[in-house]
Amino acid sequence: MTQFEQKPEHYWWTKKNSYLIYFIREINGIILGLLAFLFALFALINYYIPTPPTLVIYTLLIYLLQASSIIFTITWLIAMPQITPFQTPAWLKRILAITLVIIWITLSYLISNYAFLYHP
Amino acid sequence: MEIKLKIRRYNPETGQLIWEEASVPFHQDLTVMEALDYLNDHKQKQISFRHSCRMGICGSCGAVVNNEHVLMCQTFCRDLKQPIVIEPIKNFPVIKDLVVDIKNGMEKFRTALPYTKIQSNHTSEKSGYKHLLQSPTQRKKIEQSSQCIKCMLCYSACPIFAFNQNFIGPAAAALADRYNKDNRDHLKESRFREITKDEGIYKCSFIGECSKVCPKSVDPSGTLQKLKIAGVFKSPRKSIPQKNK
Repeated sequence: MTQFEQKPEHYWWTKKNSYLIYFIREINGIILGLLAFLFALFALINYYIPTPPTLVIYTLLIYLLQASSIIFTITWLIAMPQITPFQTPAWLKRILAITLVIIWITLSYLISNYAFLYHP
Repeated sequence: MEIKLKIRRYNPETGQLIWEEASVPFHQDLTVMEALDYLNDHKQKQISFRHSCRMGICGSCGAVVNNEHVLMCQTFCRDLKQPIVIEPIKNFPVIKDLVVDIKNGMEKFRTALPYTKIQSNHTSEKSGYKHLLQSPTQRKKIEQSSQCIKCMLCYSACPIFAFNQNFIGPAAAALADRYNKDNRDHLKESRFREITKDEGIYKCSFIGECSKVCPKSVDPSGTLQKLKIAGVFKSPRKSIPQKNK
């Protein structure tokens, strides 16, 4: 009489949406670090020996880095209302998540417009 | 009209794992469990599966139906795509067909110290017994986490537990939280020490599937995150070994 050991499937993260979201969220942290490193590297290359291909890659990296950062931030902002110190119904959690995203966008807009891009 | 079922079966004597297809007469109120009962009663399939209350209270009929972790007694065939694929719950060794060995999960509950240690000096005038009272507000704090029926669906849906069988797991953490919030309990410090050990609550990566599959809406995922925050303020000072002077 032997028991059958159930082992995790190879592509377990494709089996459910929540697994996939988790997988993207976690792997995105690694991708973000890698993109930031490449971004710094190509910024350095473009500063000393700018060529058309490196400029294209540099521009592409800006967009990829932005997209990756947005995914990372949004997934965590959506996760945050799940752990409120009080019992919250699902609809309130959704409202909290949307509020957090709106606050983040507003703050990003204010900071980018008035802190970094403002030149008197 | 008939519905088609596809059942994963395991024979412990031969070690053989097979997919068996069968059909059952359909009616609107047919649950997955009743469909399996029909196969056993009318077609002599001899499918092994645990079941008892038939109303979502005992938590023994957990299974993976069409890739969803559910209680079979609460899952209606009318809501499912055909063929209805029935598998045993994941992350536990299969004893036979849909019956799994949940010993490992039960051991995890033990580490959460699931009982109250009452220290009371209040003695009832009438009975003479020592007791502690609980107000409706205090009861409300533990209402949600008290609903756990130990069906192990959260363990089945947890990929962290799938890769690390020593992880305390969602239900045990929710159980620890239930007793920690109990106003009559005096074991909070010991319980926190237990659940914040190496294989404790910090192994959770907040996937959230355990809360989705919970048939009693216990929300173990949210509880785990709250325990992590509480644990940060409580456990490190206790767990760092003191140097001998």
